Amino acid sequence: MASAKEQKRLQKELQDIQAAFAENPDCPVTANMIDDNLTRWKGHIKGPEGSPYEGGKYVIDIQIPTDYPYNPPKMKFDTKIWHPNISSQTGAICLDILKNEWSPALTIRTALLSLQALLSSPEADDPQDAEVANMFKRDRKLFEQTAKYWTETFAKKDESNHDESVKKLVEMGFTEDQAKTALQKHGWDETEALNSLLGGA
Amino acid sequence: MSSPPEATGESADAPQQQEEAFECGVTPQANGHVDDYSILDHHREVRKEVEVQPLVGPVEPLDGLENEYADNPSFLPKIRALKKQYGGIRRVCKDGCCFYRSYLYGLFEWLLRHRSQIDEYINLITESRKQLEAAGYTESTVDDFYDEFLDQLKLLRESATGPSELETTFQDAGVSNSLVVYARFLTGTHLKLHAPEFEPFLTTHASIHQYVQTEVDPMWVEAEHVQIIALTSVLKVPVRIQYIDASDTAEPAPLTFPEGCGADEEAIHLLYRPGHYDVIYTKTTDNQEGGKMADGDGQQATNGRQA
Repeated sequence: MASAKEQKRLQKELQDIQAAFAENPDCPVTANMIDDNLTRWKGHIKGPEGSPYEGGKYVIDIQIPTDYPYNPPKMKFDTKIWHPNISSQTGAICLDILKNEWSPALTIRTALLSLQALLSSPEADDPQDAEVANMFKRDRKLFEQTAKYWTETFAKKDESNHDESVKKLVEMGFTEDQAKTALQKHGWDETEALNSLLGGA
Repeated sequence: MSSPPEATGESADAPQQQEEAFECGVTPQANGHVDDYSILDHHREVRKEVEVQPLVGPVEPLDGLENEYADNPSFLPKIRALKKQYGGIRRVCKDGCCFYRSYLYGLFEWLLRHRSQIDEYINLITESRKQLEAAGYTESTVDDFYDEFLDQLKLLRESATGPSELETTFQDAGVSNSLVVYARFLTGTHLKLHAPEFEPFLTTHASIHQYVQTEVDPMWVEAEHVQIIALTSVLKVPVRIQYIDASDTAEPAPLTFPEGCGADEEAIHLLYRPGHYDVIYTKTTDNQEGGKMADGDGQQATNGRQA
């Protein structure tokens, strides 16, 4: 059912979100398409100031269903994060507008902005990750420390090195997505990532 | 397992109830994460089953409805009473959009009988776009649906869509769902711009804005009276709804929206069974007896759609 009309809408959404980011680099969210596939995006969110996620850069995996925009885009965190409404294991997100409150009046950009807002305002009573939520409720200080530690560890890696590694693998003939996935999986170790790409091929 | 054998109106609700089964917080274990998306996928599967039913069906005689409730002593007398006044039913998909889709179908049929009004409706929809913006809907998301609504009205005007094409139009998911979305935006806009009139009646929501966000804008949420009042206020053609349920009265209970419209005004007729609307057609209206109905040449429709 992904008709020309829905394709057109997705193209426009992508243009708008990238134009907004180009216009204002302080813009907290942006997104790009993966492998020239209009239904597969990666979103990028800046950790909000004043939150334990400040300074972190978070990658969101976005899959757009064939019945978009009547049904919501599927989003999950690729970057590991310690937050009551996001699974620390899978990156799955508990956010009403990504579920029963999704509306065709919303866009992927507004959904990403809502995600960013969720980082500033956790809803521990409506958790995705009970362990994180319990810590949030019982020991706020420990929660903040843990969330900050996860931000430092997983969301603030030196990106220039990463870009180099991705570039090397892409030059060997892998797609950017393949390269990034393998590198992430292997803690950005180029040799291990390359071995997995060659072995797994 | 001894479930009651009689067909109750509620059975129509099953897919809807399943939909409501998913919500935040249903997977509280830290690591045993049932992926919410697998729940959504299931939800979608359920909807696919629902979607095997066409978005709108042909006009059928009411005998089928009578057979459906043959063993149900509380519904049957009401259906028999209904048969005295109504000759046909057009079943509409039970996907949560049934009121909107039924009413729009009735509206388009009404316009085919009142062709001189089509231009007025083209103006009304054209004007509505500014209202939508005033109510906070953004141009970038509204325009696809707005364009589709206008295009369909223009096809009516140009006689490209006649009574027999209308069924095909409303069965095309892309078109049909776009019309429903725009009707939802019109409903939400009316509610937001008339918030003081509606807010006193809210019981479970803090504001009209929040109500629209959860009960109007999302695609598969069924309409309550508030939405019906709002949409009929915007689109002006009154709707007469015949309510039948398991109560022990012998007659269906009719209600007309908007309240206070003239009883003699030609209305769109809908049948409501708990959880669902279909279009129904009076015997007196138009030319729609027997053979005509088979063409989908519906006249007046009462339609109920289920959420």
